[in-house]
This record gives sequence, C-alpha cells and structure tokens, in this order.
Amino acid sequence: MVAIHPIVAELLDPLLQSPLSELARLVISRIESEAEEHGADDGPRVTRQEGFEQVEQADDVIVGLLRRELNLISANQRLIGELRVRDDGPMFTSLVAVTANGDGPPVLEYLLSPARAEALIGLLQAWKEGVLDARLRLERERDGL
Amino acid sequence: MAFSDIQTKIKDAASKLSLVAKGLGKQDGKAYEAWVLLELAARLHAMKYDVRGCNPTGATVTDFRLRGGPGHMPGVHDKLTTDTPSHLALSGSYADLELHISIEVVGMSEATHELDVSVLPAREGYSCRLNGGGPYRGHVLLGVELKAYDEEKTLPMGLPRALLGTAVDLDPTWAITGFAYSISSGEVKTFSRKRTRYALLTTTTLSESGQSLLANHGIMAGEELEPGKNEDVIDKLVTEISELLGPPPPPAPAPTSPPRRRTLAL
Repeated sequence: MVAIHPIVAELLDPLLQSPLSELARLVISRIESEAEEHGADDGPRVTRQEGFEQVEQADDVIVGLLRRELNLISANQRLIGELRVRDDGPMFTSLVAVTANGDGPPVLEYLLSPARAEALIGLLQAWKEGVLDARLRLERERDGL
Repeated sequence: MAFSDIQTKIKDAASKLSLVAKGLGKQDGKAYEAWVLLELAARLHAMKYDVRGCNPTGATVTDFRLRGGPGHMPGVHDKLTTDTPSHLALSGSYADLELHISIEVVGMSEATHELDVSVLPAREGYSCRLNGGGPYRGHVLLGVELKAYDEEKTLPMGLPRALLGTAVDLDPTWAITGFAYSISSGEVKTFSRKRTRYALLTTTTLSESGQSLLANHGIMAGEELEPGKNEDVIDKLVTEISELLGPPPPPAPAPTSPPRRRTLAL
C-alpha cells in the first residue's frame, strides 16, 4: 500500500468524513495504481514531488468525475428535449434512478434535477479551493517556509 | 481562509451532494447508463422508429425509472411502485424490440449475469413479465457493458474477460461465427450466423490486451466515450439495432376530417 502525503490526506479527509467517502476511495485507488505503474516503493515516506503528483491525481479523479456528471446532466436534458418532439403522444420527461433495490423503501434519485447540478458545482468549487491551498502548502514546504 | 474552513466547505458540499446523488462514486454510473440509453433512443427516433418509454404492462411512462442495480424483470401483475423499472419499446417493420437497463439474465450454467443495456425481442420480454417476471431467460439480441470508471486510467482486464464469459454462458455456441460444409461436387460452402452482438463502452481506456481480446471475439469497444466524444460506437450500436428492427414503420395515416355537411340555404 502506497503512503499518501499528509497534505493530500488532509485534502481527502473531508470527503472521507462525508457520505460520499467513496470519492476519496477512488482517489486512493488511482494514486495506488499510478504508483504501482511507476514502480514506486511502499515505504512510509512520501517526497514533496510525490505529494504534488498525488494532488494532481486526486484532482484528475474528482474534477473528472464531477465534470462528467455535469456534462451528462446537460446531455441527458438535451436528449429528452429531442425525444419530446413527437407527433404521436408524449415521451418521458424525467429520469429517475432507483438507488435502493429491494431492501427497504426505494430511494429515488432525480438524474436531471437542478438541485443535483447545483450540488455538483458546489463540490467542484469547494474542491478547487482545497486543491489550490494544498498546492500552496506543498510549495511552502519545498521552500522551507 | 484557514485550511480547516476549506475542509468544512468540502465536507458540507459533499454532504449536500450526497442528498441528491447517492450513488455517486459507487461505480453505479446511472447518469452514464441513462445517457447511452437516451442517445440510442434519440437516434432511433430521428430515424423515424417508434420509441416509447414503458412500464412492465406496456403503458407509456413520463418518468423513466432506471434500476439502481442488477434486477429482475418485473411481472405484469406486480403492483406498480416508485421503484418499478421502465424500459424502452422499439418498433420497426420487421420486429418489435425492448431495451432494458441493468437486467439480470440467466446463463446455461444457471448463473445470473447483469447486462447494463440489453435489447430483447419484445415478445420474449413480455412473455417473461406475463409469467411473473424474474431473471430473464430468453434471447438477448444485443448486450452492452458500461463502465464509468475512475479508479485507474485503464480498465482492468477482468471486465473484458467477464463480458466474454457472459456471452459464452448465455450461448455456449456464441464463439462459432459461421459454418462450412461441402456439397456433392466437393465445393465448400460457408455461411455466417447472426449471433448476439456485444459491446464494452467505458469512460476510460482499454489495455492493448483488452482491445485485442474484444476485437478477436467481435465485441465492439468504445473507449473514452462521453457526451460529444468518441460517439461513433453509439452509431454502430444504432446500426445494429436498426438492422434488427428493419425499416422504420410507415407513418400512421393522417386522420381524415369528416366530410363537411352541406347546408342548403332555404
């Protein structure tokens, strides 16, 4: 198991403490797989350079996933609009994912809701601030400040 | 701003997002599945095929419901609830088909397999629902595995292998793509068979081995597929489905207006 730089660990901590802890797990998997690919050792020390690389890898995963979800919302809204143009009756107007399957009451997830898009943008913005701060702190660490 | 404040902002934003996107990050990729479904539906609709979102009884729905995970075909007589999944009904001149999301299908081994997108003959889909539903045991015409994948830059080899395993378990003769036979004159004739088509579509890349495995077995591959990016594989899937459907059905005759009653001026 590869060691995570303390600054990167602090960046991931709020995600780990949230109901979306799975996002942090994805980041850790990506960092591990890239370290494996580059033959990094499993020692406990992580260099500053590795810290920078881990921040970029974490940013790739989180920003990539959030932006993709936002793109999917707008693509799905556009496609629903195209499908609505019918001469012979209505087509569906919303997409609902039923996330709890079988056990307990169903939990509905409206895939096209404005609240979903807003919340995705909210996390994207907060995350960007975190990444910026993590980079600055790594810079300071390098300069011995 | 102190880093602890930024941490609080991230945690609050993630908590807020979790209320409206519970499956996010859990590799369920519901929005991705929905997008592929809608791309197929919109393209077929633009080609003048009849495309409708339906509930298990065949009634048109306005809220299209996607299964949250692999699930059974619902029964026609089951009570319709908020978690009853929808499917797309597709009609052409040759065939009526159904397009399902995340349905469980039974292989020859009696093991069940999930197909993220599957195209079935409408008659067999309805027959399954009429008989109470459950895992689908009928013929699958097209099966698509979808992976919105973020853990690694390359999709693990296990996923192409798993799709190949599913194809062979659903039809042990699937790997046979054609036959050759000799007639009395000694001439050898060959013919190819129409078999279930499969595709593996992902937001990430495939390894060389993965590409080779899929290509060698005639499984379509779509890498780094996202809205507006590398969508040519969606066109290939639409071509496959339209070949199964045949030409679009002729348009319904326009309603004729009743003859105007002539009034006589008295």
